[in-house]
Amino acid sequence: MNTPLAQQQSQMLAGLLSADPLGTPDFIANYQDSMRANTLFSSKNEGEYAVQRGWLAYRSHASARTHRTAAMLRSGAIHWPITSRAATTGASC
Amino acid sequence: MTHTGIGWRHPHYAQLLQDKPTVGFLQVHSENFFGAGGAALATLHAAREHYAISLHGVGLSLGSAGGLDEAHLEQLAQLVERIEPVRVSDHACFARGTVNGRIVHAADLLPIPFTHESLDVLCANVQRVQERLRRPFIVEHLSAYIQFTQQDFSETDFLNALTQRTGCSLLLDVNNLYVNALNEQMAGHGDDPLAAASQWITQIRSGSVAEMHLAGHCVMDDIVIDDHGSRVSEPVWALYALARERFADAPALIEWDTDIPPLDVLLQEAAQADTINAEAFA
Repeated sequence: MNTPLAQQQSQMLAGLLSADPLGTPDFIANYQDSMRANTLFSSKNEGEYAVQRGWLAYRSHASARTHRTAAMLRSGAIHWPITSRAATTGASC
Repeated sequence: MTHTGIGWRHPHYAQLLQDKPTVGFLQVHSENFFGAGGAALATLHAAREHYAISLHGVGLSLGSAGGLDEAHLEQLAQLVERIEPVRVSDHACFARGTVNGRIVHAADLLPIPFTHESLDVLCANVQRVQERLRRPFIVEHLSAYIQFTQQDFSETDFLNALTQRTGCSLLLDVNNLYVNALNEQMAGHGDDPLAAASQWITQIRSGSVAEMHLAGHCVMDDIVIDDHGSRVSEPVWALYALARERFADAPALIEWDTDIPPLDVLLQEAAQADTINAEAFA
């Protein structure tokens, strides 16, 4: 599927991949592999209760990334198909 | 009106199961319990014996133009069958897509534009979820920090269309509204965040909200982050009172995901929400 929206979403994900100065491989996960290994929302080596901590790490990581990417956006290093509301990339629940 | 619920996170697992405080329900993140067995699921089953459970997902990627991941949906369906939750929800966002031929997942809740195309995608994906789960689904709006250049709808019109077309309900996060309004103000759009968030609440169809969330946020120099890491702010309590009057039947939840405090603090926050509920119906 290569609709305009799909292209836009691919661009956004590619932007996130390329924008992160730390290259966080854990942030953009290879989805299918991660789901198979049950590592997307947890750490596979930490045992059962690590699964519970997964979301905490996820949230902390997302918040940290939000701050970091906000700074990059303001530096003009990334082009986004958006107007900046608050000059960051992410969202949270 | 049921008592307010709390987000049940790992630091409170043992104490809650031991003390069994009175709360309206427990919310957990669905993906943390996708395993078919083990301690995680056993813990959730133990809680289920005493509490209603609301499953709140973070990974379905309902707004993905590439469609849903059926394996992810299947795991959610199995969890729903095991736990029999009172409500099941996820977000109006996308996280999953294709980059250079590889399917990737952002492990984040990335915003979607409020366009006809995006609405069609979201509706189709929500319908698919409801068909598989054989129950109404609940969709939460985001605290999003960007705005797309091209929009066909306001956010409230977009969400109203979603609920009308699919029959799903909304999860209204009061803190998200206020965070968005504060960030709009910081970006030079609007000078009254409380009024903006209040207007948002009045524009959502009455009867379409099935759950409400309350949480804290973090005010930085130039941005406000919805970090779920502090007590509910006074403006958000004020907005909650308005929302409670408009969406009388929607149970509320205290969410705390960063710097999680002692369980008693969550229970205090839940009690404050209960007080507002009582005042609304006095």
